[in-house]
Amino acid sequence: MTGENLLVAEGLSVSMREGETWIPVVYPGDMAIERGGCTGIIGESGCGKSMLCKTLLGLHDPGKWQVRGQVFFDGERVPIEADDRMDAFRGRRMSMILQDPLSAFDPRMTIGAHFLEGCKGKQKALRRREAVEWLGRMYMPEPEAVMKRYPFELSGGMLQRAMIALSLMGEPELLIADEPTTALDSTVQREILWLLARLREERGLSLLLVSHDLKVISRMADWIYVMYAGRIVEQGPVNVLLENPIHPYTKGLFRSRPAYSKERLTVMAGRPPRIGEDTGGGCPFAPRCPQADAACGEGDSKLERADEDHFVRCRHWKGKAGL
Amino acid sequence: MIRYLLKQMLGLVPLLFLVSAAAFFLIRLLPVDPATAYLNSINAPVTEESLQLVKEELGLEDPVPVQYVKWLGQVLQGDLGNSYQTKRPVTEELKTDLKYTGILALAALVWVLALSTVFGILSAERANSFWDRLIRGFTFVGAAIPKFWLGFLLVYLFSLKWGVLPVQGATSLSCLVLPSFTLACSYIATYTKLLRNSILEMKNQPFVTYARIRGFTRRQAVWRHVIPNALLPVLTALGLHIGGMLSGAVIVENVFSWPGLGRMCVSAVAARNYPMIQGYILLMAVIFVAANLISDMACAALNPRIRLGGNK
Ligand SMILES: Nc1ncnc2c1ncn2[C@@H]1O[C@H](COP(=O)(O)OP(=O)(O)O)[C@@H](O)[C@H]1O
Ligand SMILES: [Mg+2]
Repeated sequence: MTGENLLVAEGLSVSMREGETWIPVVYPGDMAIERGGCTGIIGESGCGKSMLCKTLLGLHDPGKWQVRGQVFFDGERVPIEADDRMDAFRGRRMSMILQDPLSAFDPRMTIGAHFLEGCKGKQKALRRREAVEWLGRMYMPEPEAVMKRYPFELSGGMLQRAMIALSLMGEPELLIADEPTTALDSTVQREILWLLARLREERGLSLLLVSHDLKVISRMADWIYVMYAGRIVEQGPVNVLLENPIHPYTKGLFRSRPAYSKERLTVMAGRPPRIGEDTGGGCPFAPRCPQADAACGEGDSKLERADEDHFVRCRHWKGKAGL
Repeated sequence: MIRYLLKQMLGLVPLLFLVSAAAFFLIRLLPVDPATAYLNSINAPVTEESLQLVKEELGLEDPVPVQYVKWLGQVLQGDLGNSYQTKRPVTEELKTDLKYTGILALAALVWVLALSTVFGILSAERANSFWDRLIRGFTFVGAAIPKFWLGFLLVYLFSLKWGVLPVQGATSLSCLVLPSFTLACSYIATYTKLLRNSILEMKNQPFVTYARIRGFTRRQAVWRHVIPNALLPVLTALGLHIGGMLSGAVIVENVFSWPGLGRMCVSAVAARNYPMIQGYILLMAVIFVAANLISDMACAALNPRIRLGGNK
């Protein structure tokens, strides 16, 4: 990694309560997000990408979820375990935009009311002006009129712009975009991605971009994490990974490139294990892996360094370089 | 919106006709004819002659369909006939009774709104705590308990044993407490449960998570986003139940001798006082219909999607 890290996660894991036991959903892993960069997470649906993002913002209800590990933001420890102390981070240091923009807005409130929420008296006029400005920056047509609209009156693309504006109002340094374009059609997808790239260039915004779509990730990100069944299975700079994917899962992902499709990514035969599903203690990808052998069933493999900053979680990685 | 309303109201006219006809013909299937009941009630001997005389006086000579048409003609002019017993116009009698039932229902509504919001919010916010368990126990029992039994139990405890509230009557505000609570009890249970589930469901909505993401505290998210949205279905259901509450008043009014429509109706049935029964049923039908309309409109007013959709 060249630049300085804005966010560092160490041994971060999430488990879900099931009666008296905890079922792992995201396995312990490390992660770093470069300041001003765009870090991508890619993986099939249900592999724990959204879980990981929510963990960074401390959004897990401690009664149902158990979060382990540390997160540092700008060198400062983030109290992801303490919901009330996270309020100072959320929205101000890091923020997030969600996959389905329609359900992210309160259906009873206008877009403007969302921007003015929590404002009293004289602040309101100022905040309203700021909001219109932000909407304008998002290339929103007629921002004044949009402020008066209810969420259901706007298109998905307009709502996504409004959500980006709303999330950026608190001037966060990091924006987590969880499948920001999955619910949109392809021309609008491209506009939103262009907008995010522009915000990164002009405002130095750091991005954590989550997608199951390789086109999106390869176009935007400069560093990629590949997730499978709650584990990071491969990571590295985008060009290294694209040219020389090592993990059979990554290879499979890269081979099946759905061009801006809305559907679930269908890679290879089979499906990822469900959470809590018994994988026999071996590599969770082994049942689908074309190169699996008896050794793969004996214990999960570890993330190993394959190259300078290229890591892979496959015990046979040495024999698998190149497509 | 106004056109929608008019259309709704027009659609209800045939319904009211149907109800009036059903009421008219069905009550005439009751055993013991009104003339006999009338003579019994004034302790007069029941003979061929006296029966004939009473029937003529009450207009029961004609065949039933003819009676219906005559009655309908009157109703359309705003006249519901005269009570067999008091000889006063039915509209007058209904007016006084309606006032008392209205007071009772309104007081019950206050109980319902106050207690089910407090219980529902407390129960959902402290899910699985001691309070939640207690409240859920109440919703379980409260919904199943028969009104007459609860009424007698409350009278026994509060009036006879502790002597803090009057047994019956309608002379002071304290008389209102027990009957209105008795009427409200099952609704409190229903709405508490409804609100609790609604709140727990709303909490999982992405817009609540997104409010947290923007840095609002848990409390702010709950009060601004969870509760207002969770109350919507409860208010809608409440509108639909207002009519039911009025008819539920029949039992409560009889237990507490509350001089409302329900008590009037029971005595009118006993005396085969046809005009009063018909008037009561027609009035109930109108109230049901009006309550549904009002709840429809309230729901539309609270929900921008319906409100704005209706304008286009
Ligand atoms: N609220 C929840 N309760 C229980 N399981 C959940 C919940 N949300 C997600 N999961 C499960 O956690 C796993 C990871 O989900 P998620 O992080 O949403 O996947 P992704 O974002 O990669 O598609 C999935 O198997 C999903 O079924
Ligand atoms: Mg997801």
